[in-house]
Amino acid sequence: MTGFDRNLKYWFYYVSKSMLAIYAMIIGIVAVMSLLDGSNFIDTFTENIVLYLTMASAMSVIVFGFTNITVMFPVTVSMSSRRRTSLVAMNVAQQVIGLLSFTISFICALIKWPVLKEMLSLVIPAFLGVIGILFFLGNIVAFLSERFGRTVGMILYIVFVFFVVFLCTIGIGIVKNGKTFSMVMANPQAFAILFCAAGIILDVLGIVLVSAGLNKKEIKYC
Amino acid sequence: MNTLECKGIVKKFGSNEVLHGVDVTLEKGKIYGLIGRNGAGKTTLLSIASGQNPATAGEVDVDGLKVWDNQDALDKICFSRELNITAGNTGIGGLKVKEYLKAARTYFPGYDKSIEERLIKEFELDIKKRLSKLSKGMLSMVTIIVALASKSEYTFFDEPVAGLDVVARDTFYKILLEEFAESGRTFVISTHIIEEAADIFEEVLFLDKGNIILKENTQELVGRTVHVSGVSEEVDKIMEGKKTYHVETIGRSKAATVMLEPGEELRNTADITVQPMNLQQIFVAMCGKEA
Repeated sequence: MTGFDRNLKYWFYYVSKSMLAIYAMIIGIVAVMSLLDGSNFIDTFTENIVLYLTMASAMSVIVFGFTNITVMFPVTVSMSSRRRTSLVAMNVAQQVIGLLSFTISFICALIKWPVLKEMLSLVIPAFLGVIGILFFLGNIVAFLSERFGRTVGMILYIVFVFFVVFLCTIGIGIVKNGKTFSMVMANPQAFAILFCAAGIILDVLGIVLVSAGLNKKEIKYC
Repeated sequence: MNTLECKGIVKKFGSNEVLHGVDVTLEKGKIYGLIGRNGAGKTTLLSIASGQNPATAGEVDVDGLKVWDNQDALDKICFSRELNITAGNTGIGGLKVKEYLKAARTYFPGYDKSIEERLIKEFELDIKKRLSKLSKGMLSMVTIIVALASKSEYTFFDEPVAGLDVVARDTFYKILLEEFAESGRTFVISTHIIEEAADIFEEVLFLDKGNIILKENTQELVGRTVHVSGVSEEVDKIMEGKKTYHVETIGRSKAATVMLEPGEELRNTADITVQPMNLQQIFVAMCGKEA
């Protein structure tokens, strides 16, 4: 096996295990809540399965960003892996497992709301765009945690999210009554494709951001 | 070929230079002892020699291959680092021993599970425990297991016996020697417990303030280094033209650690006393503070 194969094997194992742990946690929370309010667990779970799966998928992206680069990445390097190989394999595993998880929730959404099937050409690019943005946010967490440590990294991430939300709110306010908004409303298909492309570009930018400077980073155990 | 060469290794952390152009060659099939005081740069040197961290200047080659960012070279090296668990369950401490070992099994191409299983049994290690729940000695056991089972041609240990009890230390030395005899791997052991390990070091490297000040066969070093004391003038005569360390003068008497030429002998006389020294005493004389 090459170094990349070994990395892929390990990262897929580790990320899948973490993903299952997040699913288990969500199921556990729903079970406890059902127990507390006396509702039927199966009914509650089935009713809200899209929400729970989406929550688990989104959580996983942030959790992976928060821990993988600071905990498992140094371990893989200390076990004689090339840094870049480990980073690439880590991203491949995170994104494939994340995408798979989001896809399951998407399929559940299509089953639950058949009306979505009629708008697939609009919904799929938008769905991919959202995932790309989430992966980008995951890599922002990874970048900040790797640079500033997990605690400060998380605080800076929250500040970053507030800042982005603030900018978006202002941006929406500006374009809402303008020409751009009318154009978007006139051609939502084009907007969805643009949104998808933006998500993918941001995702790639996030990976580049994390990898920048990683070659010079001092690997230490924490 | 068949060597690991560090050429002009410099390491700076900001303005603090920790290694000052270290040149050292490790030959295949030897056990080296890397000895230095706290902060001398032992871990930094090993982490650079193993390709885990970059050098500020200089390079490391293993069997003719550049080590940095080269998987073929990295596959020949294992540096099982000392595990310092400080962040509880949130960092690496949250991993279970078996999870850590699974990573090692995946990453080291020649990993030998039978060695892992034997050591787990010998050390009576509970692999279901999280690393954060292990004592310092148990963490050392984990790093020993990974290093020995990795079967890497060049295997570096950083304080492998720190915190280990006498029985576990004995087990470690026994299995290390067995593995050495069987495989002919190269081992570098960084340790502060010098005398206990002195017998297994074929060569010793003394690292002092970021410089390798000595690299020599252990037996030859111990054989030619003596502590000379007696009348000042007589000791001065012996010291003339020789490497001397830790010179102490008390009144008309003088004492010094003297390195003789290979094959040279020095006998007790009425005016001087010559005493053999062990490795630890030699190290203290060379790297301790001058009297």
